[in-house]
Order: sequence, then C-alpha cells, then structure tokens
Amino acid sequence: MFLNRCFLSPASSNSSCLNAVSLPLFISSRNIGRRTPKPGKPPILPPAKKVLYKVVHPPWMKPEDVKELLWRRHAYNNAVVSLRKVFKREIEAKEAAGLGIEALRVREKDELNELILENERRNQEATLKRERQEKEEYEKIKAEFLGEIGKKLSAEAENAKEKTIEVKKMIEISQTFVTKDNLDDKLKEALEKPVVFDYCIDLNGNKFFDPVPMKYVEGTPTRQKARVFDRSLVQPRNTETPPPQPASATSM
Amino acid sequence: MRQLINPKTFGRPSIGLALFGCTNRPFYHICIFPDRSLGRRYEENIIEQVGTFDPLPNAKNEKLVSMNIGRMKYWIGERNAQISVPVLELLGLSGLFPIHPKTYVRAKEQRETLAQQVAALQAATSTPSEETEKTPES
Repeated sequence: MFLNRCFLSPASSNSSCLNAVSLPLFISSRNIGRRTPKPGKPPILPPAKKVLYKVVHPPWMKPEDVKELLWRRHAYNNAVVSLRKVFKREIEAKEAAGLGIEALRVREKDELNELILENERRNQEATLKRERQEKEEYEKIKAEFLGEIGKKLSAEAENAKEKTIEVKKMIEISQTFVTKDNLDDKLKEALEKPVVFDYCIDLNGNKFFDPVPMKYVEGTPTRQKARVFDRSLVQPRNTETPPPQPASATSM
Repeated sequence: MRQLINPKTFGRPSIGLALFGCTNRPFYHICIFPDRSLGRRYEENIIEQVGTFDPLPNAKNEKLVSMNIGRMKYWIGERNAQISVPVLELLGLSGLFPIHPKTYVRAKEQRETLAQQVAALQAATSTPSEETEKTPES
C-alpha cells in the first residue's frame, strides 16, 4: 500500500513526486472550500449494479477476417516494437552528436555566462562614459556658476561705488537741510533774510523787482499783483543796481 | 474489493486522449499520464501535453490533429510508454506508425454502411420513378 501514498492520490497531495516532473498545463484553480474530487470510487465501496455483472460479448466476426486481423496485429506489434528501438537509437544518436537536452542545457549555461560577462562589460563602459559626462557637465556648471557669481559681485561693487558717491553727495547736501532740531533757527533765518524770486532778468544780468520786496511790509499791500502792461516800455526802475543816470538828468 | 493496481506493472507511462471541452463540444488533448490504471484521466494527472485532437469537423470538413513528434519519440522510445488505441490510430494516419488494424476494420465497416446507405437511397429514388412509369402506362 506504499504506492497509494505516492500515486493514488495525486489530487490531494499538492507537491507530489509526479508533479515535480513537470508542471501540469491546465491547473484547475479551485479556491477555498472547492477542492477537486478524487477520481473514481474508493476501492472499499462496492461497484455499481450497472457494472456488477457486465459481460462483454465481442461481436461475431468471419474467420477470414479474424485471420487477417491476427496477422495484421502481429505485424503491427512487431513494427511498434522495432519503432521503439528506432526512436531510442535516434535519441541516443542525437545525444551523442551533441543535439540532446543535456548538451542544450550545457550550451545554454555557457551562453548565459557569456551574456552575463558581456553585460558586465557593457555596464563598465556605461559607467566610464557616465563618469566622463558627469565630470564635463560638472565643470561646465561650475564655470557658469562662477561666472554668475563674478558678475553679481562686480555688479554689487559698482552699485556700492555709485551709492557711496550718492550718499556722500546727500551728506553734503544735507548740511543745509531743515530738520526738527534746526527748524526754529532756520525759520528765524528765513524770516530775517527773506529771498524773493519774484523778479525778471535781462541779458546783462539786471534783475527787476516789481513790487520792490520789503522785509517789513509798510502800509497796506496792493490788491492787484499781476502785470497789466509791458514794463520794458518804461524806464527801468526797481533794479538791484540803480541804472546809470542819463546826461540830461544830471544837467538838470 | 475491486481490482487494485498491480505494483509489478505499475509505473509505465501511458499516452492517451484526455477529454476537455464543454457540453456538446468535446476536445481531446494528447497527453502523457503516469499510468493507465489510474482511473479517469483528469487534469492534475497529466505529466505532459503532446498534441491535440478535435473530433468535430470544421467548416472544411477536416478533423484537426496536432502532435509534438519529437517529444512523442522520446516518450515512446526512451521511456517506453504505452500508447492507447485512438492515439495509435492517429499516429498511423499521420505516418509515423503503420496503419492500425482497427483503422482497417473501421474503414471496412464505414464502407459497408456507406454502401448500404447508397443502396437504400437508390432504392428510394427508383421506386417512385417506377410508380410514375406504371401510372401513365395504365
């Protein structure tokens, strides 16, 4: 009964010795709770009534047919036996000539090793190439960055120069600025020394004020302030430097 | 108890047809089984598939068979497999083996049945024509 364990229940044993030979091509995927049933009946059960007293009566054949079939069967069986030997010899010849499965396996193994070596070689070449490229790119990028940095630095330096000049100018200018501290003094100064820009000037540099500016206003100022007529038609008056007296005036 | 497996003859592989397909549509795979005494052929029993056979004729009235001759030679020659009669017949028709005696028997039977059918048809066609000939005469 030791055979039963090995062969009679291949369906139940998932990793049987038979299946280890080669995987079955049509694996039935029976999932949880749906196992394939064992084939046939267990031997302990009695056979069915249909099969119990079944007697196979071969049909009657003519004697000549029987004789013919007999020699045909003999010839056929001999042929099959010899064919088996022929096939066996063929396979052995193939194996000897190096076309068999073992030789194939050896060749495949060698090919695999060769391919692995070539792959390694290719990988090394690729690494070298990659390193070179990366180096070049690194150099390029470094040069770019350095250039940009240089540009920025020079720009900053120029900017600093310009700004220092500006700032110095402003410092100089700011000497005369009015701040909260010197506001009172400046106001007093402005009030004491009023500067009037309400004048016209000619090509000789003579300024004409109209009305004449007065520090402390005397009398009531006029309401009319605009120019109504052309002053150039009139004898110049109200100049900073008095005009030279004409000769007729002195003689009078 | 029914006859159990004989350990002396056990272990010889067997080449046979394994039935697959659906209802009203059979299809056979020519497979290698571990032993022919292991009950009905079922999927998990197969060692290797070596061919196919479609018993239903196609549109061109052909029954298609495919065979992996190389592997079959290995199993038959090297491993000394038993071959079932249908597979032997198919091999004979393919040319690898000589024609099986059963093929001759089958062919003879089919010829006889065909002859009988032809004779019956002829008889059926001739009797109405005889009747039509008789009636106008009368």
